[in-house]
Amino acid sequence: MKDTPFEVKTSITRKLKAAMIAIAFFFLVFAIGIFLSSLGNFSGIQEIHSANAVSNLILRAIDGIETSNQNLSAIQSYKNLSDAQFSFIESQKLVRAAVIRAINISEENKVVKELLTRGLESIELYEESSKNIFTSTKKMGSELIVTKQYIMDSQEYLRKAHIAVQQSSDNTFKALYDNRYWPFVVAIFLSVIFFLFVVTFGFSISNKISHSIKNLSLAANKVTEGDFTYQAPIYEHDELGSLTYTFNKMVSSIHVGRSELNSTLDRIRKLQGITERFSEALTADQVMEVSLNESFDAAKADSGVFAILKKGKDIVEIQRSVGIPESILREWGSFPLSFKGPLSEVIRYHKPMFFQSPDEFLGTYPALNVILDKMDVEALAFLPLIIGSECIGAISFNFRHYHPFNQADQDFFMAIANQCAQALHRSQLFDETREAVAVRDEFLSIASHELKTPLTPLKLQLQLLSRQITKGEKEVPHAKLLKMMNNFDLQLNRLSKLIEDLLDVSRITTGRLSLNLERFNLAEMIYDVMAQYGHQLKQAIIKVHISSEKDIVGMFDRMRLEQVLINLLVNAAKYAPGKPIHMSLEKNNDMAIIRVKDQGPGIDPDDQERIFKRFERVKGSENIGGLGLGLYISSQIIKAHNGIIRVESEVGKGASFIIEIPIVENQYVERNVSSA
Amino acid sequence: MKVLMKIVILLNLMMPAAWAQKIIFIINSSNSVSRVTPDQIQDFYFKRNRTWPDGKPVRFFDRNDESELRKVFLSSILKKTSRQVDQFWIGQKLFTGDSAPTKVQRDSLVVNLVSRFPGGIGYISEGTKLGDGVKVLEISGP
Repeated sequence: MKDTPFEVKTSITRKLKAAMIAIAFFFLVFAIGIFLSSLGNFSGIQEIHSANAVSNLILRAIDGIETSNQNLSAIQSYKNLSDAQFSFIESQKLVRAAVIRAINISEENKVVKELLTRGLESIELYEESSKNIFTSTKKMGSELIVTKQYIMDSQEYLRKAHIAVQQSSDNTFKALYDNRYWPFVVAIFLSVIFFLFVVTFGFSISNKISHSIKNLSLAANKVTEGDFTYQAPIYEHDELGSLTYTFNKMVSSIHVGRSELNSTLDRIRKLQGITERFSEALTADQVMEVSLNESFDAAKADSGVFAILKKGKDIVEIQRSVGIPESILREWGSFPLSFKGPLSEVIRYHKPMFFQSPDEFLGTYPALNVILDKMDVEALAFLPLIIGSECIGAISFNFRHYHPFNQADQDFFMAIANQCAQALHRSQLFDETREAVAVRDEFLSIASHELKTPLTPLKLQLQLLSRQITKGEKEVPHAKLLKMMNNFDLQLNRLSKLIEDLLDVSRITTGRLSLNLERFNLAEMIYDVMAQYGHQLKQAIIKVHISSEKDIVGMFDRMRLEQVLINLLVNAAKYAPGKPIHMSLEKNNDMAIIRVKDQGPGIDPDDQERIFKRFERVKGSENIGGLGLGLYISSQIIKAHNGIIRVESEVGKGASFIIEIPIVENQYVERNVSSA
Repeated sequence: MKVLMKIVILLNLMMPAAWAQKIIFIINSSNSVSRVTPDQIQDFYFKRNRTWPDGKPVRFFDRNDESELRKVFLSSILKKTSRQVDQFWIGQKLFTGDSAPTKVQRDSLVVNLVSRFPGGIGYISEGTKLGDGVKVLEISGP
């Protein structure tokens, strides 16, 4: 298909118009030709007619002259000369009239006219001379002869004129006769020319039109049969050529439209395939595997990576890759989100990036030529994996050959990326759910074990006591009984504490944890706690440091804060038995800060956030009893006071729990109680 | 037969010369011509030449058929018989419109007519009285 616009150089309409005009012109020429060829004949007929008239007039004049002549010859027989003269004059009138008329008619024949004029002169002469005859009879003889001389002259002239007229008439007729076929010859000649014109010009036009129409019809048939690649040849640059050109363009655009439709359908099918495969993939690993295989296949990419943004760490990690050299992966396996590179920027800005050439890529990221040099790529696409308002990672597609990245391509790649993101998100939720279920299962086993632990000795001792009573051997010693009772109390307290914790969790979960605020001094509360529970902790040293501002008075829930404090102390005692615990209270800009620092094994930074969640315990604490609810409940209580609880710790260097709560004087303060 | 005819014609031609009158041609005295050949006379008579050298129209006056002089004229100048001449003029009248010259009866009338027409020419018998208006035209050659 030529891109140059079609140029109409000729026109069938114009040709047909020209043919029409030519035909009209032909008829005009035909008519003029016939007319001109007949014109000679018409004038010839006219000439013959006038010659005939002249001839008749001359004959009449000759007759008249003869009569006059005879009249003169017989003049002696007349008794009265005046009678003879009258007769002569009357006859002469006719002669004159005829000759003058003949002269007028034969205006064009000069010879005839000349002869007739001379004849008229002679007539005048003999008329003049005849007067002598009629007046005197003396010299009659000679006068008569003289007059007759003139009569003879006039007769000669008129006869000669008559002969000339006849001659001319004969010649005219001969010419007429000779030319009688001229109009036919002209008509036949023009007809032949017209015939040739029709045969050449008309046939040529009709052939060309028929050829073009057949050509177009053939093309239409081909297209009907489904051949959209057929381009009809253009024979003439006329209206039909223009029609053919438009037809070709139309077929081409249909062809392009069909291939675009097919490609779109293909892509939709591929997306469906990806969706199906994703529905089978449950874990993040499976999803990434499927993403890589299916999306690379669908995008027809030659190489690429699948990168994930590590939560809370601002680190991008390449999880999977195809066709990327090992050396690059080793060096660039993970990098900070703030790094100036396409993957990190795509994640940061939530926008895809497309590079049609390595030069374009290096124009944006000149420092990354070290990576590009090791790879055989021509075009690159980087796509964010977006879930809602969050970006969880990115994928890249690299192409070894030029790729235009038109709008359809970009949309398709984004659709793939969205599919991957959805699937990955789903898998992450799945993993989290599974993990949560596992945590709960573990909690249940711990909880049942913990609940059972105090019950077993309780049951044993009760059985023992029961046996002793039923046997009635002897009275159970009082001291022993008291010890047993203390033990029962201890175990029941433990159970009660466990059940209370579970109830607190339930309250928090259902949003029923309410604070009973009262105004008191935090320092006092700390001393009270130390006084009440210090002995229970069996701790060698508990150092308490209260800052100079002794009175930190505010509106707090005393019971709950004591619960938090005890919890922290118990934990410290539990994880660092026999080691000193430091406790401090200080005030900082309307914030009360309580620190509880132990010298235990410390908490891994990875766990520092986790330990405040439900059913979570520090790793490696399997040998230490507890439901793992203490810190969760504590954090929720502090949260309800609009404060925060956090931990500062290094492995092997102990842990320091810090509580920061605002000191509130006003009773009417909105309290947030989270259900989480 | 032919031979006999030739002898008769020869005799006819010879005889007038022997006994007939002498023939004299006259023209108008205003005419500058004074001598012509018999052939020229023939041309004038048969209207082959209709004008004199000075442009005047030739008017030939013939004589009556019975006239002896005409016989001399026919035999010596025209070298034709009367019938031949009549035949000629019938033809001329039809095909050229020319008429035969007017025939005049008497010598005196010939003289009169020649004197009246400037281009006039006629023949008369020897001894006829000539007026002022005419003069004799010499015939040269045979």
